[in-house]
Amino acid sequence: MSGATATRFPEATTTVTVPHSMDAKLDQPQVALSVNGVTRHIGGRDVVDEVSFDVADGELVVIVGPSGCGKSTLLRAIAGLDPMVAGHIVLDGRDITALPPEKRRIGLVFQDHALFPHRRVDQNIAFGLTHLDRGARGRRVDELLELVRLPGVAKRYPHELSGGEQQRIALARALAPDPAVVLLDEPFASLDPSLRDDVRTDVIEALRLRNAAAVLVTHDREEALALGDRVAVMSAGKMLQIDRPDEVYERPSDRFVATLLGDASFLPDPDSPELTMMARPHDLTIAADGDGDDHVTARRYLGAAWRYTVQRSDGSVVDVDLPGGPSATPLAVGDACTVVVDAGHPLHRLPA
Amino acid sequence: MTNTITDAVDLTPPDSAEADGSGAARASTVSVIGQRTRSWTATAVISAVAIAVSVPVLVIVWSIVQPSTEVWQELWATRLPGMIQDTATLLVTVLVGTLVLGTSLAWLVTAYQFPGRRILGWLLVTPLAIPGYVLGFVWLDTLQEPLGARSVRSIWLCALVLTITLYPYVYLFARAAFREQSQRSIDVARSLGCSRTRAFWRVVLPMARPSLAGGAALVGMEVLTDVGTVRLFNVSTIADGVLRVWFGTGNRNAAAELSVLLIGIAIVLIAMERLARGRARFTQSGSRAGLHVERLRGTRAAAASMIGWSMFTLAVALPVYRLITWALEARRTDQTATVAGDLGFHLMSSLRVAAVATLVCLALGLLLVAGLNRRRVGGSLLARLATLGYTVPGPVVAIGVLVTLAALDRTGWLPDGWLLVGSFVGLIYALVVRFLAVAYQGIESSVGKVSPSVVASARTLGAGRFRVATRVELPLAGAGIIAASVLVAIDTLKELPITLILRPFGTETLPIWVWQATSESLWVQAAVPSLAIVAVGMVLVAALLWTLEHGAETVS
Repeated sequence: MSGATATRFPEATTTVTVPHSMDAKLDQPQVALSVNGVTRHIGGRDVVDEVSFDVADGELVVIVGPSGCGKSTLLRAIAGLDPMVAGHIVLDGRDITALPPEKRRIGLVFQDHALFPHRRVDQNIAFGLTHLDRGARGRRVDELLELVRLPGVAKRYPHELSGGEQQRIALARALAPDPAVVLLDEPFASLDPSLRDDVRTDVIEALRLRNAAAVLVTHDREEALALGDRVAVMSAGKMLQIDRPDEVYERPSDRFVATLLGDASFLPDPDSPELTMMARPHDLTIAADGDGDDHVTARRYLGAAWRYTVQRSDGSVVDVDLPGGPSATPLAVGDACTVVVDAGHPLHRLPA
Repeated sequence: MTNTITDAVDLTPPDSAEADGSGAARASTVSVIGQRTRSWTATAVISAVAIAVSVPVLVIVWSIVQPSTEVWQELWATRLPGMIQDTATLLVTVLVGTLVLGTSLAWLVTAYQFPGRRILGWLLVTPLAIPGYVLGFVWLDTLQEPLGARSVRSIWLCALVLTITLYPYVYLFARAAFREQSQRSIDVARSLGCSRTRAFWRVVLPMARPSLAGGAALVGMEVLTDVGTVRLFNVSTIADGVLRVWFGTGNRNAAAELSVLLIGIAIVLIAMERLARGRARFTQSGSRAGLHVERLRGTRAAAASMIGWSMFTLAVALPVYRLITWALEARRTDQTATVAGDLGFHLMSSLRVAAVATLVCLALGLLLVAGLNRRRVGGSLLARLATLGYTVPGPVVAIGVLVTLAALDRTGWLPDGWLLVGSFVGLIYALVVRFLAVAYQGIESSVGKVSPSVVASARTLGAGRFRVATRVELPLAGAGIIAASVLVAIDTLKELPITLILRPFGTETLPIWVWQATSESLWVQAAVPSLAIVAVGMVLVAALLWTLEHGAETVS
């Protein structure tokens, strides 16, 4: 039935390269941060298990994973806040594994922003600038306030700012000593959805302007796909895949990555029992004949589309998106139908 | 900020409304307790209580309006400059001492893991159970031999003794403040180039400042108030002067005017901290994951243990051992009864005074918390009136109460033959004036910590105001309320100056016995009542710590 309509997917197309956003500036992007085989134990258990990846100058790598997958722990290990049992970290060509956090030149931004409540905004930003004299410090603070688009709040206290403003000040404080890399731990999670977008745009903009290498941790898949130059998926302490956002979304390495980054159904591969085919809801459609062996078990209106959950005759359950719009006549729960693949490209295959 | 001892020892995180600092969230609290009661009778009762407890203090302040110049001239010409100097020296030394000692011990047990850390965390609070006038005479006798009878009675030794008995106040507040802090502040500070030590000085300590100031304020009050310890060491502070003027000349006005000086110093102390704080906040929003504990090993762990244990030995174990040997000696030589009678009688007197005063404070405290709406101007004014007594040293309260009661007695409103001066009621009244604030603030803060959403849920489930208060708020705040009561009990048990001035004939408390024996340097005889005070005090401190630990569990 529906599986039959899927065409063979040629392996060769994976080699197509789309330039990274910074590749335009530099042919060979310099590696800023290199994480090699980092492993951390908590209570005798691997929380981070031999994780390796590089971050190029000016690149933003987003680590995404469910809570408890070890992504924040990895960040703390990179910052030198917690000891690791194995691996080493190289920053700008220098092995910093043995250095204490204060010697590493790594900026940190937390979800709860961790501004010092007893210091004014300017004193917060200037906290890491002890090596500068008074005048230079003042100029640097002004420059950073300008960067995060908050001139004029220098003399306020953190509690006198809104949540979004506090987060931008936290970024300014982290950027002030000119760190080699900035680590952001769920920086937007505590913000109101209504202002999250604005703050996100401003923060990313500020990072770009400084051409700062950055690692951002999130559990929000849309955030990961939208922000990252590359997206790294973590689960149970392991890094499963790291690649451009469209690559991890379209060509996930396994089922877990596939479902973490978006809704997906899995169809048996007719040619190989070891493989399965991933179908995003928009890759599937329902045949127009209005009959068949499959049944609609639930439906949801998403605005741009209707999302149907369909129980197929072989017992598997798939999600199908049909375009919405005023002229669409939705199917009802219980209706019989036939699901067919209508992807316009071969479905991606991954291990069953 | 952390204002009361119960706050300080409380382990629960403050509610988020307070933490994020948005006034709006706080104002919308639906707490039933503290919001109702618009009825006239209730308002009248509460106002009456608040005014009744504040009158003795206001009477004293009023006396300055018509100062008797002769008294001042004489005081100024003779003893006053010395008194001011001694008070200031003692105050500054003990404040610095307790801040250093209390903060470093608190940091030791919060930030580091070493053998005995858990038990030491609690043992280091126990000096609270030993009054300064007990520890004072133990040390006095111990050091008399090596230092000589003259030089042992010095202001510095007195300051040292007070520091050792009073540091637990700072310790408790500091520990609570450190526990509330988030490791992230330190993490960020370190990523910005601070070493662990520098992060402590630049971030941890400044953020704990209001709590430290809260603890220091209590220490300051105790030092200003103390009469027992300073007398032992021949230090003539203003509080001591009030007593001397009172007992020496019987000049009520002179004593009252001297008292105003004490109130003045207390107010200046509090104002200074408020001014210094300015607009800054000290609490952080967001997660309170707590500080990471660093595990010490080898010699460093041994050193940490040793610091803790030697502090405990010096402040508690040795003095108690000394008291026990004296008490045994007193028993053997049958000196127990010679000065002031038997232990059972004194113990019962002490317990009766402490129990009645505590119960009255608890009842009035609950009444005030239930009836006052602090968000309204009138309510906060009444609350301030009712808690005035705690900022006023004991001897001052005693004299204020005496003046008030004497005036009442003169009106002839009371039945014939009834006199308030020198009555049990009068004594309890004075103790309530002084310690109501402890109960009130403890109850207030623990009721305030009950989550607004819990109260709202109860209301929507159909519980009326009364039912919410009795079934939800009070049980949840229960541990805090008990803790506040225990604190009042500890305070009244150790209390000396008020009892000394106001006790009715035949009421001889344990502190009075100690006072009488030590005035004549009869250490051996002072040992028995001292031990009794320490023993009851230890039980109360243990109860306090247990309730607070337990309470933290039920709330979180």
